[in-house]
Amino acid sequence: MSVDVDIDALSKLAMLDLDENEKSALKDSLHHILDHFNKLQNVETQGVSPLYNINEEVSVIRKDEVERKITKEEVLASAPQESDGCYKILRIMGKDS
Amino acid sequence: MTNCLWGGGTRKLLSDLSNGSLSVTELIADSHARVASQNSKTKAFYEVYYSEKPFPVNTDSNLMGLPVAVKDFIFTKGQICSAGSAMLEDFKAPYSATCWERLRSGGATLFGRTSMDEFGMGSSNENSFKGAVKNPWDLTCTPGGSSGGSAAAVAGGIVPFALGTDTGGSVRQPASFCGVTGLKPSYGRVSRFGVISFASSLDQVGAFALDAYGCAKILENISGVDLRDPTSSREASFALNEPGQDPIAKKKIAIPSFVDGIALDPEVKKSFKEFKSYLISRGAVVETVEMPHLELSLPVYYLICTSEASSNLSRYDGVHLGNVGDKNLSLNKVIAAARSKGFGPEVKRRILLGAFALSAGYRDAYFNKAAQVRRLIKESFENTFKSYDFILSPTSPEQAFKLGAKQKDPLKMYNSDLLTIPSSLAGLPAISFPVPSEGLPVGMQLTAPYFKEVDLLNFVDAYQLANDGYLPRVSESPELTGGLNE
Repeated sequence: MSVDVDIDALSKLAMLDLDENEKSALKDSLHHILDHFNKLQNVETQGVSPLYNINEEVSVIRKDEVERKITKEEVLASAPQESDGCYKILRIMGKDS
Repeated sequence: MTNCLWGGGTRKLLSDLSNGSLSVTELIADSHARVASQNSKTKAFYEVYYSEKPFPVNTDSNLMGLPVAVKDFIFTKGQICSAGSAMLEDFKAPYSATCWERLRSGGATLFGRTSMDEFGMGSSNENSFKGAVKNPWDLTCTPGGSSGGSAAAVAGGIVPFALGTDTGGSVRQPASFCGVTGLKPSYGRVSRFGVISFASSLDQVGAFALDAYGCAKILENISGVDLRDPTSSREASFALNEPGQDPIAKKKIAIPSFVDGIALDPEVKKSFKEFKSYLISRGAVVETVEMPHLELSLPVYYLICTSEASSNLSRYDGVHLGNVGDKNLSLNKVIAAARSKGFGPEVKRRILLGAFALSAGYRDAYFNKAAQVRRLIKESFENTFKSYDFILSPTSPEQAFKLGAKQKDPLKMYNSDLLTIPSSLAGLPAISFPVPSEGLPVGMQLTAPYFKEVDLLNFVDAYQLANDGYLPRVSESPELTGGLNE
């Protein structure tokens, strides 16, 4: 089974802006990689349950306790933009978003 | 330049420090001199924290102030953590990773932040946004990746210990290329809290040291449950104990038959053959064993890790995290522009590959199929461990390759991880350690059952103790250590 990667749809899904050169190079390399990976399709896996997590111990949920280990200033230090002590993000309504 | 102060191995280093024949101040001064002369050549460090004071030494601190290099993937509070990416160039860690916090409590001094392939994606450390790292044994070769900076830091004699992370071989392969010992613990052994995620079901913090004893000291400090990482195991912390019997004699060692089908470099082949003979001479049983499905590890790994990465890296949107884009554009455009500018070519390729494997119509055939075969690979290991104590192979089919040799063909680069990936998929502990070789270093990889790090480390420790002459050593090549006055 050989696939045809729709690089335009894929870059939109991945939210990447690619120029034409990048698109063509990445499309070629994805095809090259996926052709090689297609040998997986021949493996008999009927009834095999997929393995998503190695640690099959049941997750323990810790107590939800309020901790103040980080100050507001420390958090804001890594905000891309800050305004009046708030973490400033872009407007998401009112424009063509 | 004098010989490396810890070139005699970790045991000697710790005893020199505790009997006072060496002081931590002296050791750190030596580390600073070495990094000053080497870093312009190897580029192992992004940053060295010259003003970091040695950890106050007391009887409870088992690491006695020893300097440790930390991969740029692991948070150390207040310091930049950029994941080797322009996307996080200015990002300062708001808290420390559990592994670093524990190491510091154990008496480690933060020495510096080491270079890596962007977001852990690479096998040559050429995908760092600040340029490639060079191998201390030969500056025209790669140190391996993605934890290439940490491996080069130990191999160059700058620090006795370094932290790395290993998703599909990112500690073991650079350890092999640089002639040091590198341990990837069992999945869940070490908390991933405060470690930037690449592929969450595979990522694990690992240790570099000159020898297995050094790796054991690091693991003793960093292992154990952490409620801030729900995937960290509640099994007891790791502690090295004196082996009751010879850790090598009578051990049953399996070599997966698919290794026979892999084209090994002649030098790797020779070292592997000699090491097998050595083990047999020590009374171990070494047999080639059929391990079905292991030969499929590469596609399984690359489909799973890229799928997880495409999801994990969605948080870098230039809004919450990452450099902000042009705020006059609409939100979607801002995000796409920031991601396109912030990520390098290999990261983009992997995000796209992962997005493809997860996309509607392809998910069953790619991501789910890979996860099913992953189960079969894990079962293959479990079946082998019913009759064998360890699994052995070379760590990498080759010695360190030339910089640039594989940059144009991603599949060739992915193939570098052929032998380290299987144990990662199964979550098993594995170690790479140097064996005698001509020219550049060669590493062997030993894999143990889940949570059997003690057996793994005792085995390699026994080998290294019995072979003083073969003990891993730091590079003192004139090319590297010359030019102190530059």
